[in-house]
Amino acid sequence: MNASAATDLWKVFDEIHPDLKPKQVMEEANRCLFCFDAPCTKACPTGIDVPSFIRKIATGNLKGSARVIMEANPMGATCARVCPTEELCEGACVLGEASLPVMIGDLQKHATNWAMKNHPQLFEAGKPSGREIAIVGAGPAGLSAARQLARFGHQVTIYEKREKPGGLDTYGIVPFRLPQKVALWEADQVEQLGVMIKTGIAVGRDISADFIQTHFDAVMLAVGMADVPDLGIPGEELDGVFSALELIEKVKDGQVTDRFMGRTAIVVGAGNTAIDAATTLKRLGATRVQMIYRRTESEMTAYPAEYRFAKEDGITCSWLTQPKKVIGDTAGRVTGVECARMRLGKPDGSGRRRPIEIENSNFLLEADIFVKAIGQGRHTSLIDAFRLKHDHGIVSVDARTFQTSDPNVFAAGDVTFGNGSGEATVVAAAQQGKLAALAIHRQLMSRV
Amino acid sequence: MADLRIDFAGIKSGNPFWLASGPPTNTGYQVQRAFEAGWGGAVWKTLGEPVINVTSRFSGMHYGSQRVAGFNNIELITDRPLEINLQEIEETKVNYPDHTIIASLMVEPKREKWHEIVKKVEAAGVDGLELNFGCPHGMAERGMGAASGQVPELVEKQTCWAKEAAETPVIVKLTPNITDITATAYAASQGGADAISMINTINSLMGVDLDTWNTIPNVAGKGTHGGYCGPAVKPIALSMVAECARDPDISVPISGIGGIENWRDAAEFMLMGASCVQICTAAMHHGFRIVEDLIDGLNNYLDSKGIASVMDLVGQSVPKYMSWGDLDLNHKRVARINLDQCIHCNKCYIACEDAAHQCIEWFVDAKGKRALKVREEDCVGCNLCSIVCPAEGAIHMIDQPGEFPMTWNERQHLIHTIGG
Amino acid sequence: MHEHTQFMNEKVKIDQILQRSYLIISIEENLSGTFVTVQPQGEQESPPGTVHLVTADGRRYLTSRLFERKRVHAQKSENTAR
Ligand SMILES: Cc1cc2nc3c(=O)[nH]c(=O)nc-3n(C[C@H](O)[C@H](O)[C@H](O)COP(=O)(O)OP(=O)(O)OC[C@H]3O[C@@H](n4cnc5c(N)ncnc54)[C@H](O)[C@@H]3O)c2cc1C
Ligand SMILES: Cc1cc2nc3c(=O)[nH]c(=O)nc-3n(C[C@H](O)[C@H](O)[C@H](O)COP(=O)(O)O)c2cc1C
Ligand code: SF4
Repeated sequence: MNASAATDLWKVFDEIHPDLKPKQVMEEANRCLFCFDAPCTKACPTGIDVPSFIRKIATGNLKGSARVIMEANPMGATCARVCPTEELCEGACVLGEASLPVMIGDLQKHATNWAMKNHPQLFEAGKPSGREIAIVGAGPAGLSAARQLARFGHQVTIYEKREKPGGLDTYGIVPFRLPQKVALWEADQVEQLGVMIKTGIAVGRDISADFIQTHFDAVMLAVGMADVPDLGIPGEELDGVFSALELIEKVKDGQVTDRFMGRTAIVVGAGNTAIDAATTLKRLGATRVQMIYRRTESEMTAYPAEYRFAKEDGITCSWLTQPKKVIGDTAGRVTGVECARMRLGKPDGSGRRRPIEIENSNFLLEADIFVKAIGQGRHTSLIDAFRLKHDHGIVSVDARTFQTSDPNVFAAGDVTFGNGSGEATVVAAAQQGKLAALAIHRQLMSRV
Repeated sequence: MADLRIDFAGIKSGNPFWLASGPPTNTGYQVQRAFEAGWGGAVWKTLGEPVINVTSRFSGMHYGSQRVAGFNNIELITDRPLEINLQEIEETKVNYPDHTIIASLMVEPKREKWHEIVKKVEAAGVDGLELNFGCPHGMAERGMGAASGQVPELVEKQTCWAKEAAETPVIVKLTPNITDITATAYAASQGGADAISMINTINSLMGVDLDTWNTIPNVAGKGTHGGYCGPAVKPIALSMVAECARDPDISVPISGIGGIENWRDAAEFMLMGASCVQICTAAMHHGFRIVEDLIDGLNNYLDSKGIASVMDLVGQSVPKYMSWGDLDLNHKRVARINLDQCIHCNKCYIACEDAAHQCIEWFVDAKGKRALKVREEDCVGCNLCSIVCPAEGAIHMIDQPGEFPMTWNERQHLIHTIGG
Repeated sequence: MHEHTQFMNEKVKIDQILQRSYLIISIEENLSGTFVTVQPQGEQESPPGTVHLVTADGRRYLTSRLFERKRVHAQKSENTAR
């Protein structure tokens, strides 16, 4: 691909949702009622004092506004873009019933954009405590914990497998919803407090769990979840089969390819990852993108707003469809997917109705690209290396302190997510990181 | 359709809406456009020895996302020669004979100066005169405007001089920059004024720019106090009109000015005793076209109340306006929260808790939801909660069946008779 | 803060003054509130007592009751005059 085509293609990955214009900002900020004991604040998992930050926007105190946001949520700039606000703060806004909810996410974006542009020093490291803490994984959970620990005065070292910090914010959430620079700015804010982020170091590969456990006063595991697991069907090794995360990661890191131009793609899954993969494929030039899911629209885990967005992109869905086999040509390239029709039975453990295959219903969908987006796997071997209690790779933690079965090891974020407890979101990971940091701090300071 | 025609101190006008003296009445071109739009009358931009104005001149007081809650200016009177203004007045009067033109005048406090200008403008065919004793800035430093308007003797004397020469009715426009407006209003009527108009603008400094530390507005980095007007001054103007209207010693008609923006404001001024109203800022903010709804809205209002003529509205609320000492101390009203309309912003709670009488309480309703209610026996009926409540109909102020009325004045009298 | 309770206490005192025929000698108001000086009727020898009213409602209530009493008297004398 020539250079100008590459830049043109790159443009489609620019952030889609426009910033509010200055007048909109003032109108919207002044619409906020400044509720007392505000429901939006209660609905925010990190408890951002929403009326306070909005009032500060209205009075022109943008530094103060950004500080209120980032204080409660070290991922406040990311969350302004990726939080399911209609389920959280905006869903709770008292104006929702009376007229329209205040655009809290957009105002939060405005205040944090100001901070990204003007580089104010929002926080300072605490007085050195002499304690050292290791964090494994520089995603939202790890960075959030590190920021809090540094403010308490502890020396924090983060080990991060990848080249850049930020976790899925940097590598997993599509750039047209969350530009990479936003996640990197948040990581930079944390580094400025004296947190050491050692990138390119995978714990368990480049450095052992034992080393970490013996050399630090406390450890926090924040490795998130692993890549998309295999489906376990024939043909997954064919040329043209991708994992959704691998696909998004390339685009997010600026590596755009014309490999998907004019192609027909099938994405299996109906969560947020599937939607991100499908809309990415569209932007990479795929002519037809179809999502297939073994349940129906009412069981899908993607948020309504996300699904709307995919539909606007012209993405279609085939419900009650289960892939059975990826089919290839003699050269080993994908040509189609054999699927079976499903029906819904009684509710299963997750509370959703269980899909049951209809016999002899197999049919063929033609496609050149097959993308797996059926959730993420687990870092089970690493968890075992730390000798922590877990349930199929979900680390068991105390619900309040995030302490694991090893009193010196804490865990937060997606690595603890599962079995119906909460949601795998950036905002939840950030809050858990904060709470875990507080628990670590208390534990360390109670020791003489 | 109600009859909107008025008779103001003998001046007949098609409706009670006049443009106040200011930028909208600066030229014949503008006044003719205004008459075309439907304004009943216009008070010409104040005439006198032409001045030189500065730039910039105005600034706006914006509240939240609402622009021009208030307005401030450091403009002086007309900067055009008298002859040109008079020529345009004549022409306008010829083209619009049924519309009212009032000449606003300001000259040095000398008898011959008043005689001279009164004769000249009356020759041009004006329907009346308005003596501008109001401008708080610039002209006052030269002994005119508010400087003479703040001294009752000067008001009386100059009114006298104008009256000596005048054949048309003389209106005296009062400055609000005085403690008791009835003092100057009384002086004007003693001087022979046929009517009074109020208010002119209020002394003000709009603001300070936090980056440059310049005043707002500023002229080459320097500023001066200006005159404040627009919606924010309406309550001040209304009380001054009411004070004059209820004063038995002031029996001349009143033209109400200050913050009037729509027919509702106009009707309020008329109920409080104004028999015509003047508008400046609202026309500057939105243009002459606002007169359409002023007329239409007032008409529909009068029809809905079954009132045939707008003149029947004048002064109806004046008897309800009195001294504090004549208010009933035994009247009791309490706040009541209507949970069907409540949006649970809890603003009433924190307002009463922090700034009133700590009588709004949480309770858990039948559905287990936290909600608020008023502990009525401790409620003093101050209205604060209903003022801060953003949800229409969520807080009602309920008048309680009262005891026998008792005013402060009656009470003091009683105590003294007992004390003996 | 429940000012109403405080008022209810003062109301009891005021009602006592008015029901048991006390003579109100004077009502004095100053920075501390209202002081009502009373003397039991027919017992000129016993020293006068003072009731201190603090709440606004109490001070209002006292005079309202006195007005009421005046109205009743006026009514009576009008009736007898007829
Ligand atoms: C495609 C996609 C879209 C999403 N969209 C949204 C959204 O719109 N809104 C939302 O709120 N959430 C969204 N999420 C979820 C959100 O990204 C996660 O919940 C969140 O990032 C979890 O944070 P974390 O810190 O626990 O884990 P992660 O973000 O996964 O970070 C873990 C970090 O640990 C590192 N790591 C792993 N193993 C090792 C090791 N052995 N040694 C050192 N480092 C290691 C990883 O490289 C990574 O940087 C999305 C997720 C995906 C996959
Ligand atoms: C820019 C400006 C210039 C004014 N010039 C005059 C003037 O020359 N003569 C005068 O009597 N009043 C003048 N006024 C005062 C208005 O006539 C009017 O009394 C005042 O603005 C209050 O009315 P409003 O709130 O409708 O504007 C001026 C007001 C403004 C805003
Ligand atoms: S009217 Fe005043 S005292 Fe009564 S509840 Fe409302 S705020 Fe409180």
